[in-house]
Amino acid sequence: MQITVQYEAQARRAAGVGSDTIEVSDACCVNDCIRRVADAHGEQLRSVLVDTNGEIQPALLIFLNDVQVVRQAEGVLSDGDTLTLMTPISGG
Amino acid sequence: MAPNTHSSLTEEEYATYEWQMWVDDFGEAGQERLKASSVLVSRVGGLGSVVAYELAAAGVGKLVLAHAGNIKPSDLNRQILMPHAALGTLRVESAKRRLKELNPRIEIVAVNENVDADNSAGLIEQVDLIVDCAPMFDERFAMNREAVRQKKPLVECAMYELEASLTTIIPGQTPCLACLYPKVPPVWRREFPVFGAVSGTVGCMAAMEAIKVLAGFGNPLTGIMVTTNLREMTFSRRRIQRRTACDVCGNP
Repeated sequence: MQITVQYEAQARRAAGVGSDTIEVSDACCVNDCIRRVADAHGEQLRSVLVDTNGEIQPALLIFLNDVQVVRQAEGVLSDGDTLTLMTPISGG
Repeated sequence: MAPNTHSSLTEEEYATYEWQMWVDDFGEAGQERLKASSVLVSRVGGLGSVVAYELAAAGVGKLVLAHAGNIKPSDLNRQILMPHAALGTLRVESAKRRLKELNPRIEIVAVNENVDADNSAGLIEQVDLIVDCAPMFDERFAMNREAVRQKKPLVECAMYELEASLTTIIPGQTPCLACLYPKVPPVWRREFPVFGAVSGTVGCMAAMEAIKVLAGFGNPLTGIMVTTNLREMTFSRRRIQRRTACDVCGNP
């Protein structure tokens, strides 16, 4: 199935693009998808998405379509979903 | 037109705010509520300058401005309460002077401090609502913790480059900042790319959120985060969630 991954704030800058469209298996969950784009883009994006232990950064904001994915839930994806990854911002 | 017999508004105030009182679900009662309200604006930089300016113009009765330090040249591209002639002087004193020029009817308390864990309780006790415009997460977390403890609404606004985010926290009802970010975000740095037009855009939106909450009309962004990307001129509304076992708002 096809998933659009959208990047916001520093994640956009680290990815160098606003979004990617990727092909994933039906069993792919939100966290798998994040690790997949982290691996594909290299260290700059990886460092804002996952920590040194390979865990998803606790402060990363994750939205599946228009609803936040909470940390405890490994959201299930469907064909055509948009996954938004936003690094927290605090500019004032 | 003139204020009704029992209004708390003077004739001069009525004349000043008449055009916004034409908003049907705001009206004279909404204006009276703003006059009786107080707001803490945490930092009056690129974002907070605009928030404070719009709240002063709208007639919020009392503004508490908290921001430490003197005006630097690098402030001037966005901190619209800081004129060139005031370089080297206290930011909050410049802000107070400019806001008093705009609206001499309101009370302004200038505090030459940034919000932290030690002063947040005393600052928040003075007000009905907080608008969080701080550039560092430790300040934001200090305000969030105290706003939740005192059950005061907190408008959370922030920007980065040409992007911005906004949500309104109502303690006990909506996610708090610690629900969103359970740990201090590791990638944020105090110096960030900014145009004044970006911080000003989200500042106006945050001021409107504060006005709606204080006056009790419209639909504030409770449980909703709006993000905008001014490079593409796109806006998104997304639902945010309270986090189980949040150590600040104690969501069961």
